[in-house]
Amino acid sequence: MYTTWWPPITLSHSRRDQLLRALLWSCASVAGLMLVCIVAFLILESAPALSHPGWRRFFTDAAWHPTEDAYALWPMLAGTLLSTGGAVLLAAPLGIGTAVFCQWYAPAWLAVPCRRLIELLAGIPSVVFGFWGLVALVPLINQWQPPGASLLAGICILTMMILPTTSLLAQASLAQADPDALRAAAALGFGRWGTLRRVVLPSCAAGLLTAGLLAASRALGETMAVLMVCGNVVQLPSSLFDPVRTLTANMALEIPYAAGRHRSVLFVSGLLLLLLVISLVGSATWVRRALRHV
Amino acid sequence: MKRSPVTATPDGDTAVNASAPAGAAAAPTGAPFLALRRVNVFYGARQALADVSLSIDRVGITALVGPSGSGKTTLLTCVNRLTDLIPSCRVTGAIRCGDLDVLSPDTDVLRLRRRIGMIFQKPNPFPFSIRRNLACPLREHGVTDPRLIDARLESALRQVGLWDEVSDRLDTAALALSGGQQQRLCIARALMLSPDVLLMDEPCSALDPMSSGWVEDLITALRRQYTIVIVTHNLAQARRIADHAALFWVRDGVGRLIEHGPAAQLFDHPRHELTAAYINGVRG
Amino acid sequence: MALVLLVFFAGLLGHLLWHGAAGLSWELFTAPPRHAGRDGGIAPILVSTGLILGVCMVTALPFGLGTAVLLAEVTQRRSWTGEFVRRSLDTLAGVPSIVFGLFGNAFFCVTLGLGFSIMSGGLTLACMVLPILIRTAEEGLRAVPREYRLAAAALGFSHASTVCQLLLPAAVPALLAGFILGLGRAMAETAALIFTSGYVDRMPASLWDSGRALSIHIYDLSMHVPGGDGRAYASALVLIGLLLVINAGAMWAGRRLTAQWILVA
Ligand SMILES: Nc1ncnc2c1ncn2[C@@H]1O[C@H](COP(=O)(O)OP(=O)(O)O)[C@@H](O)[C@H]1O
Ligand SMILES: [Mg+2]
Repeated sequence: MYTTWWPPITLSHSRRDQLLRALLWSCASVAGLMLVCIVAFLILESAPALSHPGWRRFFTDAAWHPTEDAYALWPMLAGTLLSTGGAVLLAAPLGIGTAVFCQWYAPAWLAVPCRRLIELLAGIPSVVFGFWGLVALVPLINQWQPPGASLLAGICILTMMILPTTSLLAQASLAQADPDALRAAAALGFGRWGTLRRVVLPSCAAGLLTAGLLAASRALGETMAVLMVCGNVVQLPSSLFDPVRTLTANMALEIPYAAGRHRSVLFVSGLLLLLLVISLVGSATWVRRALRHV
Repeated sequence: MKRSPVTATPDGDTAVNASAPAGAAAAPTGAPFLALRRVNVFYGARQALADVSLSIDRVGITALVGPSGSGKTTLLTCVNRLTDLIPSCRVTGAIRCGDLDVLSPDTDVLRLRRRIGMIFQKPNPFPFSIRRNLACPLREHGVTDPRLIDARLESALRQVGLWDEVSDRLDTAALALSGGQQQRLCIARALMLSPDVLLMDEPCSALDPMSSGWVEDLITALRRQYTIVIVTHNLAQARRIADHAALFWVRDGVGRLIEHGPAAQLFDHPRHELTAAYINGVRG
Repeated sequence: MALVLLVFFAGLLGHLLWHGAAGLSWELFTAPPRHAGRDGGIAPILVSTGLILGVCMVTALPFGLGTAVLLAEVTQRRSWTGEFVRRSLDTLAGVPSIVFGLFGNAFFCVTLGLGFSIMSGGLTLACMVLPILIRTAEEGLRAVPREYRLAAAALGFSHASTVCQLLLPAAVPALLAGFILGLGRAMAETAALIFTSGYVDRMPASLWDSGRALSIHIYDLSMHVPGGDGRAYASALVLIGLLLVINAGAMWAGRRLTAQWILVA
């Protein structure tokens, strides 16, 4: 008599199956450890900068002259946060608005092409957005408030770039509204707007918040578009029309020639960016989990 | 592992001594070919089958009947160890198929499954052409000679009566066949490997009456060459084709073998009241 | 709202078409760039782009497929290894492309000594598209009906051949969709390439040569080359056109494949 207690999926004794498993596990370990590898490499490359100027100096130095031992990262961090914040503030209502329109108000013949259009927009390369900003948007702003390449231009381009993502994510979460609740609302005599405001939007809050957070993480990491339209002057902007430089633009501009401690500081900014993005994505996941049962 | 305390004897004449019935319909030839001894099956903590002991002869058709959920499918999947695919499933006891010890961890499952064909309730041809459906099992088991494959393919299709219907479109999609044709193709696919045993899990219940009749005739035609174990809800069919029959029932939430014997005896002179009730359609 | 979007999009495309259409000519696709790209064509750039994408997909595909098969067919849904790999891939999908660029520069260019080359760029992009490939392939494999697996097991198929002969062919449409998504993402990428594959606009002699991708060409022309706008418009149109063609091709192929080829292959 035997008691069988096989592992999850028992493979045969066949050589080929053992080979397959070994192969699959090695593929998966490469894929699974990729993130760990990336973080490890960034830390490794950042280590010299973290030990010599030390992280405090990134926030207290007066200027960014990496060849002359002045490593102020804070204006760039401010640029990143300001452009991202502005873009999210604009894109969130617009994105949710388009999503509500496509999901609730648009007739079928309009909703489908609308969705396709948004998907198409989501697939446009960032360098094309940046180029368009450079040749169309910046001259426009320049006529109004020179120099044109500015925080405002960056915010506008970023808004356009994250709008499709926000809208698609928001549509996905609106589509999950509980049909029973909708029927109940209809039975209570709610109109379309009433249902939307009192039933759908509150129940989708988690999904919408997640959409916003993911859009923010996308905007934080965006490089080419902001690099091309923001003017790239290292300063704390005093108005929307001042040029700024973001962390990402800084890396893209300087890595090709940076060496020694300068290079290491740039990797620190990359690490900082990565941590910001990971925490945003993490909190998006958390929000989805935590609010699902409310 | 905890041993199930339940043995199948509270009602006296139940399952345990199910071998070598007195007036067998098909002549038993020596030792039973397929022998299950005190088989228990658990899905996680839940027991699905308790203490099933059953002997099946080399030649003939054994019908398993009983209400849904009484563990008939589970029993079939123990015999070819498809239970391995369900992570939470645990089987205890002993199953012997010919000279193979089925449940032994040392048994080569692939060889075992080559010798035991299985037909499912829903026809499940692969999404390939008819030819590739039939050829791939042979190739998998090391037969690469195309002439040999073609010869086997033709004889298997003739055996299931499909040759005349599909010989001119062997390279078209198997999924384009009708349900009955698909089921016969699945039987042909199993026959390609020349198995000893055919396990059939309600092979007719997803088919229309015409196809169902076709498949039934086919099963009858195969009875001389294969050990056939068939699950069916159609009692009339079981009575028509089976040499032996076994009744399963759920008691205390666990599937059990209630009665087993020659089909004629089980259907005409059931020894157990549950069998009688089930046969007469009072319950079930 | 939708109108706003429509106007945005129409403005963008219309603007590009208006200024770029004049630059589209036969010469654009066959000639090398002259005067830092102000004149001439983009032939070497197209070749480099193709090579970078080739390296990217050729390395990413096996790893992606292998991992997807492991996640869908071998590990349990709740096992901690599967969960770990899945989590880490989800996070990886959100990592900004410039961070991939940093990693690629540090690892492929410096540590492995590949320098600024098509190889480094392709490998960096491979890391970037891996999560997309794995996610789509895993979902495709999970969508293959369970009956096929049971039938294959009952016929004594080994796990290896069940995967190779049955599950992967049955999942081809999903695999193709993932492939196209990844390809599009890689083609659109710029930031990860600036300091991995480099700027050189010559015809690449080998994979270890530096090569300029199309997106980088657009960036360089518009930012660093005064008077390069004309060719930049044309290149942007080519890039968008390529992306559209790829997507349309994927849709068409997906429909055809599911309808016929797969059934009789
Ligand atoms: N994969 C499974 N996981 C958990 N329980 C199962 C599984 N398959 C079957 N069972 C349980 O085992 C019992 C017997 O099922 P089954 O063998 O399919 O019965 P039958 O084929 O006689 O209708 C049922 O109670 C069923 O719920
Ligand atoms: Mg069943």
